[in-house]
Amino acid sequence: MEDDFLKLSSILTGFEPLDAKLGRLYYLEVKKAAGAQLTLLLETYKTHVIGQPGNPEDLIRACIWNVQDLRTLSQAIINLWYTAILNFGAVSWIAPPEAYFDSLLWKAIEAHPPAISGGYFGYWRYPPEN
Amino acid sequence: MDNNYDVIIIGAGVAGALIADKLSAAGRRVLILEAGETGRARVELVGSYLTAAAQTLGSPYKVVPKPLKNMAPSPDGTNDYYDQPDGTHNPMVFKSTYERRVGGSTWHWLGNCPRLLPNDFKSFSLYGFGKDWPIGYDDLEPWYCQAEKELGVSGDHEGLNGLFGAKRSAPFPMNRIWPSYSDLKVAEALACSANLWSEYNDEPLVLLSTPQARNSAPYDGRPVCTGNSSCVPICPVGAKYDGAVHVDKAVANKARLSEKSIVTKITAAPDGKITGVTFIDWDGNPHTVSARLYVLAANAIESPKLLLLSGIANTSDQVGRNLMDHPQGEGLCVSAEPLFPFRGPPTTSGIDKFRDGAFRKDFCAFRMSMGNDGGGRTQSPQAILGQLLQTDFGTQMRSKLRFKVTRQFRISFLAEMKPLPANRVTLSPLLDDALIPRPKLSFTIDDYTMKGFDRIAEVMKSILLTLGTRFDDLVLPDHTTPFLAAGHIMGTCRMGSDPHDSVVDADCRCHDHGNLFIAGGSVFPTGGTANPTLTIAALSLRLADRLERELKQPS
Repeated sequence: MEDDFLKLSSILTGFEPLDAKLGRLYYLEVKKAAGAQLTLLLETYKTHVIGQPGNPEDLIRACIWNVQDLRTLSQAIINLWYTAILNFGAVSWIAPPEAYFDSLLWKAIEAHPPAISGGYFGYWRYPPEN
Repeated sequence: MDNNYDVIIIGAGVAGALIADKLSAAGRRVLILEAGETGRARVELVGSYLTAAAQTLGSPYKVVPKPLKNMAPSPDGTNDYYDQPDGTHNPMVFKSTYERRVGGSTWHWLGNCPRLLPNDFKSFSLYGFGKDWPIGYDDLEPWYCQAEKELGVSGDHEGLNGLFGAKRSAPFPMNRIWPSYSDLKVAEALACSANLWSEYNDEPLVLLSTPQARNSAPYDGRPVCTGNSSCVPICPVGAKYDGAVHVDKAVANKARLSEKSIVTKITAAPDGKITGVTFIDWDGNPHTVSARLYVLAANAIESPKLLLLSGIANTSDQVGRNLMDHPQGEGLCVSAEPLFPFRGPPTTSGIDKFRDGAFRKDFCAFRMSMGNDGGGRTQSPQAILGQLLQTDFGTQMRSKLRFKVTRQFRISFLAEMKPLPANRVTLSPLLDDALIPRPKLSFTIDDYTMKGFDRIAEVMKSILLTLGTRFDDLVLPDHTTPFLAAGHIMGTCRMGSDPHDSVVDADCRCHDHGNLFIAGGSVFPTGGTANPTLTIAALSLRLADRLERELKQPS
């Protein structure tokens, strides 16, 4: 289940590969918050996407994104990977600082999470290298 | 606690810290009373910021573990501490906040350090609004130079020397902070617009490097800025100046710092002389201390609150009046080219052209700051992500997110507001946990400033259009948009030569009390368009010099 969570997360977020350690932490938190909903999501993914012919994003759109409940949970999972904050149902969980450093939002925009640049004085004068 | 002090300073923010450092370095016996705490180490404050549900200005600074009683509460919103109308339903409330802790609000400031302009000191005689300062730019100029040295300001001496007549007699201690990639792109786009808006004045429309108290090289034992982009609310490495720097220096000079010491009363004898200060510690125990001279250096809300609480210094009925901020707003666009925000300081350049001119007779002056933070305070990348997630996921969502955020650009403005007697701090019947009245605020923005908002929107629009944005992507502020706060708390104990309409004289000495002085933004008669900290620092250093001279006289 945990592996499937990581694989599905990768397609949902548009990032490959994702950090497996973070994946385990997030899997456990989402399981706590969503329980059976997560099982249903991962079962759907396993049955209708893994090993099926076609573009995985298209398959996910058809069997997950177009199903209201599964889409809501998927949105929460994407948001978790992007911001290190899980908001689902009544649950609001903030990941530890290490997760914040890896949050994908900043990678997606070729920046760094505020408070940790890893850069040198003046790097901001130049466009990002990648 | 012994009473053999030369000077008692109330407040360990930048103003009190600088004065404490100078006087203790001269061998004076100094006691600093600070209502807040020294608190946790920087690394722990950064940890709180990273894991805050809402990364507000106050998010790193909450007292941990959460105390049963919050003895020295800091505002972190419009209604959690201030007594004023509900800010969520009434756009016209006071929105700036501060940190009551050792080092004060410079912990969460951005670090911008422009000087006031010569004409800012005489707005009444030149433009017919506000009140002239009893001192001029030339009186303050040597102190501005010293303040830049003390705080460690990085700036472009050549670019700023002589701006609207503001001569600089010394270079900045460090070269300018490098411009962002986005600044360079915006400057290119603006190159054809230099002669625009000539009705304001003859200054060209160009970007100037914003002087900032942030190290462009290792300075004063602190590291160089590495562009962590979280200056507000906390610099993770201490490359940005904060008041704790000079508190530490003062303590090393043998000044005594008494944290968690909430002053409740300054006592005056019938002849006006201050005889002592009463404070309570965080356990509620009262203490009394006395000295030869007293400096009130809380801020423009806490200082008048304490004077009103003590029933002193108010013969003029000016204590608490003329509360000012710099109302702000933002304009946004999506540039034709990526500008790559969120890398480096949130702003490094500004437009100073609109800070002075004959137009100030009719509407407010303003300074513009070029963003390096996408949609600034108007639209966060998290909000854009939330919008995209309504329809998209995967690589498509990721690429749309990159497209929009890397091209998003904001300009913000900071406007001068008129000092109004009805904008004031008084004592609320509501008490805080230390059983001290909370500040009751009355605040409104006059038509003079509101009229400027529409003009500012026109200027912003023409600048943003040079970046090739689509009209649909333009977001412009105007007088109908709720303004933002700058955190520039000014006025409320203004300086002047006439004791009938001012609280302190040109030396920051209370007209009513010969041995009580006020340091900080509260003494500003008008606010101009400069972020106030550098002027606060310059006035504080000048005051420290006056105090040292006074202490040399026999008591």
